[in-house]
Amino acid sequence: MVDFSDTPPLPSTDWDVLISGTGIKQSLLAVALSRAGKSILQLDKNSYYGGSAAAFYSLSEADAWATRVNNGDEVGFTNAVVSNVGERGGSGRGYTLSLAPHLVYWHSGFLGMLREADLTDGFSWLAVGSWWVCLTEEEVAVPATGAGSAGIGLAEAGVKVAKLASAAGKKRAGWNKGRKKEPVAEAAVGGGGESAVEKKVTGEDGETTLRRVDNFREVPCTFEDVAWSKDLTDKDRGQLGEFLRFVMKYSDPTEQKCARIFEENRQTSLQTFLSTTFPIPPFITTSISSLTLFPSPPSAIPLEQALPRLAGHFTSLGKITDVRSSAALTIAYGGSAELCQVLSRAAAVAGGINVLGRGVTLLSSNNKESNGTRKLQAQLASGETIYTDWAIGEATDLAKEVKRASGKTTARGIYIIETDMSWLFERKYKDEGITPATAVAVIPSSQAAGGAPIYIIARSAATGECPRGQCLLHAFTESSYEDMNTAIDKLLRTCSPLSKILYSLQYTVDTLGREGVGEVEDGAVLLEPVTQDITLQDEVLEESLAIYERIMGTREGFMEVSEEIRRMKEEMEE
Amino acid sequence: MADPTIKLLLIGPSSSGKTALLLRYVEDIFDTDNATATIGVDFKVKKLSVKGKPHRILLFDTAGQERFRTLTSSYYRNAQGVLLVEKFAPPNAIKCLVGSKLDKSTSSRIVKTEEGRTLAERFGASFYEVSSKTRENVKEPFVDTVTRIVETPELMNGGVGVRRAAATPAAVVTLNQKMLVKKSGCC
Ligand SMILES: Nc1nc2c(ncn2[C@@H]2O[C@H](COP(=O)(O)OP(=O)(O)O)[C@@H](O)[C@H]2O)c(=O)[nH]1
Ligand SMILES: [Mg+2]
Repeated sequence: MVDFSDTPPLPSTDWDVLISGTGIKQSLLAVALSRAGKSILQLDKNSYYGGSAAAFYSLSEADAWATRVNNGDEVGFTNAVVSNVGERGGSGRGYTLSLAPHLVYWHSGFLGMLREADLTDGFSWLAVGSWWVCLTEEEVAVPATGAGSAGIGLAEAGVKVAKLASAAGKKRAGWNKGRKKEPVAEAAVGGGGESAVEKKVTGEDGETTLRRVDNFREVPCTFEDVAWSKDLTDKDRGQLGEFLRFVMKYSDPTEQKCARIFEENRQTSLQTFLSTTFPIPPFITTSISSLTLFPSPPSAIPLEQALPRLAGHFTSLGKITDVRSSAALTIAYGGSAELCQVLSRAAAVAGGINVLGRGVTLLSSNNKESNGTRKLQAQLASGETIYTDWAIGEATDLAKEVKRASGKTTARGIYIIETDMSWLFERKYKDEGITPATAVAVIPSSQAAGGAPIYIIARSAATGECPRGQCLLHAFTESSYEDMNTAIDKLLRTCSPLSKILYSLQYTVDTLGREGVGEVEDGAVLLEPVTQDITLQDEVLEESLAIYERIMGTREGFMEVSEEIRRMKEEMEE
Repeated sequence: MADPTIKLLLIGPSSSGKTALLLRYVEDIFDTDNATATIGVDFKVKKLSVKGKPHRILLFDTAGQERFRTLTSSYYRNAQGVLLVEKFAPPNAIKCLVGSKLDKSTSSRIVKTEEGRTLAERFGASFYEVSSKTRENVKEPFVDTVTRIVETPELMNGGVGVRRAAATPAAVVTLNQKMLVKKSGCC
């Protein structure tokens, strides 16, 4: 238990808005509403920031969390399993194990909002490198089966262009423009007894082949990649090139043909769509599907969900200065856990008060006239009672009962690896000035099993989350812990066969009930239960905006720095 | 080339006079009710010439977060120097212990000069006694700390934001205003 005796009482019992919890949405709202001039009290029942997006700054902190999970004290989390393979000294400092190692796409609304809110300087932003998918030779050998796309024409055109290009030897399809020379040779670069890396080869004008290490193959993301993948036939190249064009155009109302194809296929699974409309081999479908970061197999992802994610990926690609092969960023020192902290400070800077280790134990309407005009009253774990017009939080943080919903559960794992697995983080292009600190490896379940893929987000020591020479692997899957371990093993065997897992923490994330979410009763606003996405989703921003609008009556000014403060800052810089 | 930037933090118990010291040093004001004076600004900038070379000093105040012990670990990141009244500080940063409110009568002083000096020695910090009210010694702790930072090459490499990442050169992506407005060109 937290000892309250040495922390002072709250400076006031009267607040415009009470925010319970310090997760991403809660912290965003704390900043937005403080900056809008509301008096904000932000509480957290935990003695640390972030809630289900928290980070643990030592292995013993992570262990303690695992114990709470298994005691049923962490709503939404179950079945934590810790294993210490290597010996560790003391409390295991020097590690940051984050529950939210999010990727943030360059073109996400979230990043745009942080920039406008003048908040990007508070972080170290790191680049996310390539996606790698584990595919065997047999899987790659399976050809496209679809009958083709008679009547659509798009794909046929693509094939034609590709054929023309290969016949002419010089002319290239659009995705392949400006390329003049075939890659000259392949250099196998072995490093320190690790598996040989079938390395990128850079020709005169900087083109590259896709990299491959054993069965881990780089996902063709850029149009250059598509043009030069050795796993693709010219026909596949044409189809894939055309599919990528389609991804960029489907939401453009002036592209009627694309819009029509999309409308007709909204509910079609990505797998079916790709095998019929743009017939490409199944392994390419698997690769493309991995870019969506959905925990489901391509046969279970409807096109209408897949396309926005793919479009987000491809429009972000090539936009980040000094690292054009990257589409996304991640925040050092804990991903979104760091975000929550920086936001909480920003709220304090704007006049908000944040208090940890003091949760809400009872929330009710304020009926007593003697206690002012505030609509709600809240009892806190410290014994204090406060009055407020609005109370925002997840159900558990507002002392409401939450039930587990029947939905799917996600298995998560954090693994500390003894070696740095450096090839995962190598620069893709020689002329890039920035080394990625994160990479994505995907182990699809076998086609026959039809099960869920396993995503592994690798984070290097450049994140500041582990000592130099080591790295962290974060695994996400709808499959079992066992499958997750097997996947990690596969990656380890390929990268660094002799390296050990020093520590691992596995846990299960439940889908929580949405009862009462979004309804406003006397000013109490229940937030959507947190989902465990790999990327920082714009839905998080949208929900916060909607609540801001409800309280302020407008979306104008969300997260905006006031004119006066902007002027003060400018004066300072002169 | 932009002037080198140095990040300094102020740390210490609530009401120890951190905000008053910052305001006296940067703006030369002393307002007995200055609690609200730093609201809205994340840090203050002070230009300082060290050995004839101009430096940009970013001074971060706690934003009152010390009051409920809710200072975030992110607050301490990449700080090259700390003016502190307590022991909590980033491992490599230059430290300076400041005894505040020197103008108050000796009997009401919580930290005696000798105790302060001993404490500072223990943390390898320098020690100054200041009064924001009378201006006495206000500049010294800042100038001394910045000078010591400038004299420590490991702390100066790359400046704020890239220091921790020095282990892996150029890992940090800089988000500047220019890049914000870039529109997506499809294909
Ligand atoms: N007499 C005197 N009072 C001071 C001095 N510095 C700060 N104070 C007062 O001490 C109180 C707390 O100061 P403040 O700067 O807000 O402390 P902080 O919480 O550490 O930021 C305020 O009432 C200040 O006016 C000083 O040098 N002399
Ligand atoms: Mg203060």
